Amino acid sequence: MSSKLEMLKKERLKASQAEKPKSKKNQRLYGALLITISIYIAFYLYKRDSILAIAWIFSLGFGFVLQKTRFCFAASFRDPFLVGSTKLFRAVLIALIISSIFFPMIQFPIHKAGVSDYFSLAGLVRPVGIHTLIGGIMFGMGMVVAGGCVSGALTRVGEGFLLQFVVFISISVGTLFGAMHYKFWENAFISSAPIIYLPDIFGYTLAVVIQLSALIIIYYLAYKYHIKRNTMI
Amino acid sequence: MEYKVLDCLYEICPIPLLKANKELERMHSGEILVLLTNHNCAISNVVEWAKDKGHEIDYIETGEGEWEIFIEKK
Repeated sequence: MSSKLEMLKKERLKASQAEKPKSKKNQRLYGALLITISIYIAFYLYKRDSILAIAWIFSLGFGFVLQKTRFCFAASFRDPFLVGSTKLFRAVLIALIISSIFFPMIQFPIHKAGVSDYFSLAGLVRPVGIHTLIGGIMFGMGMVVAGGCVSGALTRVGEGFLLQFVVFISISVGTLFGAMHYKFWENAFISSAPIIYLPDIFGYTLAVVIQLSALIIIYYLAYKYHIKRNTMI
Repeated sequence: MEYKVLDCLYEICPIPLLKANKELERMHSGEILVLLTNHNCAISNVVEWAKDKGHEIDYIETGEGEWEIFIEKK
């Protein structure tokens, strides 16, 4: 840290506190209240249906992690192009690597029990085709312009960033339209597209090995790209 | 102390970063840019980016949910 920045920091901090003194409002009471209410809701849901309580607790956990880490899927796919940073992109890759190891462990017993219906397997095994590409491009453009994907927008709504309220309303309206027109897309593209499930082609072990190798290679390339983009300028 | 203020309040990610990048290109080495933001992603985003680029960087919270980021150009 340079001394110049250190001085400026002190100067600006003083000025900002003179302008509008930081309120000493303690938010711990609100926090305790929220946690109590959350626990109460969890118990209430558990009595009705235990899966709802689990979903509730996991949702709170996800929200907490997303907010505290400032993890952002929009940034993870945008920053490699925009500023050449692949840090978040590599974080997504690590998430995929972890899922690639553990999802087959869940899917294998189900598959082995004689379930051949892909929709009953854990995880989203769905048809892949031109609709995947078009949807991805549209969603990608939308989330970069809106400044966040669905989880990102939700997190920021919770933080009180007003603009994301508008984004969240737009997401809701868009999802509604999507649901309305889903039958058309399903008949036109999705139903005729193939489902590619690697374990069916290679067997579970080889499929996991292939997927992990591919992900690790992408990780390595992303890392190289990061180094290259951030040392040239 | 001399510094340039860049107002990015109410701007969504990644506008603060792009504006800072543009501004820094016009500045000379050793000059300081003060970026105002109320978007907490700008903290991680801009700070990480500036560190990667080799600029000196620090930030303070000036109000509830408002920050000032200081960047000294490399």
